[in-house]
Amino acid sequence: MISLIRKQIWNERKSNVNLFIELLLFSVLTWYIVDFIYIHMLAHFSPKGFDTTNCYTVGVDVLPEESEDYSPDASKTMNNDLFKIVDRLKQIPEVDAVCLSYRSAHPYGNSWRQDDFECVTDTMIHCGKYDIQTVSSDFFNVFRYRGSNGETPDMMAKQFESMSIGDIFTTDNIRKSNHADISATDYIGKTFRFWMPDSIENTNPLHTLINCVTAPKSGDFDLHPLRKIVFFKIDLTALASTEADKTRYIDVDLRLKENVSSDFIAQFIKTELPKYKEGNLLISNLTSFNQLRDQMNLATMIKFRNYLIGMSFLLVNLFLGLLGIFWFRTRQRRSEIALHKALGASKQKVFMNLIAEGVILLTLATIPAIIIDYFIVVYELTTAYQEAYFTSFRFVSTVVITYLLMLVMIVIGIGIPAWRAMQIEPAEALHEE
Amino acid sequence: MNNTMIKQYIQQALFSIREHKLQSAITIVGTALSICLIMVLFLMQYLKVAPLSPENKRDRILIVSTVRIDEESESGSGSMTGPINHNLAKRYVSEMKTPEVVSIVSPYHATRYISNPISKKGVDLNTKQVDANFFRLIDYTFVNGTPFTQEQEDADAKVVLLSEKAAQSLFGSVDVVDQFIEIDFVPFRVTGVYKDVSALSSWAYADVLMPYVHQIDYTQLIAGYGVYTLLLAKSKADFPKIKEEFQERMAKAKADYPNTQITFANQPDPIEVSLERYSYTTDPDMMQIRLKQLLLVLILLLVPAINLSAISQSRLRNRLAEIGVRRAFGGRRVDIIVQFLIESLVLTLVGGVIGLGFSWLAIASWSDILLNADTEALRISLQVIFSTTVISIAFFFCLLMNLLSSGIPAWRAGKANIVNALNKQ
Repeated sequence: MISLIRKQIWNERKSNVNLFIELLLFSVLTWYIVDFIYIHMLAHFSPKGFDTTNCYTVGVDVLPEESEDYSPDASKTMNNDLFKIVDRLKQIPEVDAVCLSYRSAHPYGNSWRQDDFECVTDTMIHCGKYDIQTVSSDFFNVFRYRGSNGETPDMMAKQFESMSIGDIFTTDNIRKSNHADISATDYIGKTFRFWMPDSIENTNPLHTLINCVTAPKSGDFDLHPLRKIVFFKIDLTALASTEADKTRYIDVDLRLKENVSSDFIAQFIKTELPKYKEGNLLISNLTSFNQLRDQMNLATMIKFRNYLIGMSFLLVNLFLGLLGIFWFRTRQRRSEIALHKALGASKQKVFMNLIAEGVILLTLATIPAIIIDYFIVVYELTTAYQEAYFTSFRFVSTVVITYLLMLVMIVIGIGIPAWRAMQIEPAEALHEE
Repeated sequence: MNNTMIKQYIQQALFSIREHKLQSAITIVGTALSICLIMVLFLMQYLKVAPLSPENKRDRILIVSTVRIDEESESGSGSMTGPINHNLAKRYVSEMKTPEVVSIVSPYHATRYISNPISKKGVDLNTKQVDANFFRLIDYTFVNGTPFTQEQEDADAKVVLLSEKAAQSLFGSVDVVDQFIEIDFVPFRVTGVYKDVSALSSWAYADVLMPYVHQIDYTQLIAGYGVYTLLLAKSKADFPKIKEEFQERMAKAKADYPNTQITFANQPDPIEVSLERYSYTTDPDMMQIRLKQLLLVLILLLVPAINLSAISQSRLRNRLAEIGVRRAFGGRRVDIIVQFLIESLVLTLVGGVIGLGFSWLAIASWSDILLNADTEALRISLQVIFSTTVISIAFFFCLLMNLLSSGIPAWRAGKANIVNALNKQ
């Protein structure tokens, strides 16, 4: 059988060379797209480190001075008015937890604050850039951040609550200045401070590391290594005693209880929200974190969709091409196939012979395609995932997926004409001849 | 070659379509798919860049979108990155002489709560702050009233313009000039109502237009909100002169504030560059962007062309005898090549029409994701997408596609040896 297929391929060599080049080109293009989709899916399905289902961000607005309802006296109690609003939100039976955080701390935000951090005990370790998030203890409850030793969000929140202002939580992915990851949990109880160049004496205050949080991603399709965050405790007493308005820098977020029906929020916004007014502050809206997430994912989703369209375009074309070529071939080789059948070849054998021709060509084309794919990776023309362009698992998986996708197209594209060839009646076909 | 011949070729082509149903169908589907994708790409760019109503002057506009200002003063150093700030725009850019009009507008739409103080009816609407010059740049059609004036703008008058949609949703009527609305609890007087604008006109699109609030603080350069500055040239030829004058104005600002650094690369940009600008230090590499687009179109054309040429090849192989006869009776090579090209063009055009139709459908139904605009406000006018420009571009790509997919097979058929052809070899 093998020798027969070899002969078949050789006899059609002129058209098969074209087909081989076509398969090679399609294989490389399809692989490129498969690779893009593959790493994004990988990123999407890896654990996020936080959970925003049922979470909403509370839009707190300040009345403008021109407004009739504006009260000049209340402009000095803004922070306390914000706390009152938070307390009222906490009273709602459907609400699970409410947290305060300085801007840019909550997930799916579009801004962040970063600074260099170093560990000062024993051997000095420079930890590099950290995101700085100043939050209230319920932040861990609202977004379900877990401890790196398996502590529940509630345990984390309680521990955060009991620590003093200036102590810190960090994520568990401390990185030494020489880029080796070390286990942050070993450094619990040791002190850290913001980094300063060696030429200057570092007078920054020291912060004791109390516990470590499982490091989160920064978004659903985050291709970078996990985020490094240092959590500071928001100083509510200091905020309460100052007249300076800090409310515009503070985010209020809440989590609803699990079993709350989806109509609740719509109804709440309609009827209850207008009642939430303290001093010059009022709640203008509740925005679901799903909405923030979709906004953040929009650019990736558009790219994703474009690549999917590109892949479908390639595969449909491959299918059409194979269908056309093999339709014509089986018609040309009608008498040959008939003779074959007359000499005892079964229907299945005729079918398999044709399919095998395509599969062998694909396999042959895949070999040089893999070499080209490899050079595309070496020249870093693909997208990096976790700072790497090449991992053998990713490369092998994408090559195999590409091969299988094309295999499906070959089986369908050749299968239809091959099925038709199967039906040839030897007597009729040979008679025509 | 005369008309009867062409007619005959077309008849033959139609016969051939009936004869080879599957091959024809494949050719048509392949072509349609490729033309559809190419036209979607073209329309996406065309709708954003071409001068279309009410942004009829897009091709003459230059934009300053993003800058960085570093400032060192006694109170410390500060820097600002993002849209150019109002202070710098108003005091230095708006005095430029070469452009016909300089307009300062808010860079983004802001959704605000707008209410009718009498009926207490309120809605969230898309607002945009613009200056009086903006109306010399964008050709709004006013249903009622007029745009606000330079005097009103200078006096920080609390006036607004509403789109028909906004007027309808707030008052249930478009006859609302001199009525009052409240924006974030502050009353504004309506001076005009304009025809709704498609969200594709990203500068012109807004439900509510309000004058820019002047906040001039001369002590520091970094003051005021970020804005976009739109410069309308008298003609495209003035672009280099405007760029030069802009640089002079920035040098002047730097001289007035000695400890200041202003970084703006090669701005102001024409619209097609502006769409690609993400940095204030480096200009978008337009060459690379165009090359990428070209490569994409090439792939979209070549991939099906390789496929279809294999099919036309087999179609021609079936007709070798016919070619042999025609050549034996004195048919010229070029006649045979032209005949096959015209025959396959019939198929390509059928595919092209279907592809173009689907590209219109795609743009109309997925405009929100394809064009990054919200569908409700999109209202792509049929005039725009059924224009001769769009149709000629599609026709051009069909010709190209036909040449790529049938050129080589037709040429091969033309040069076939008569004896071999007659022997069907």
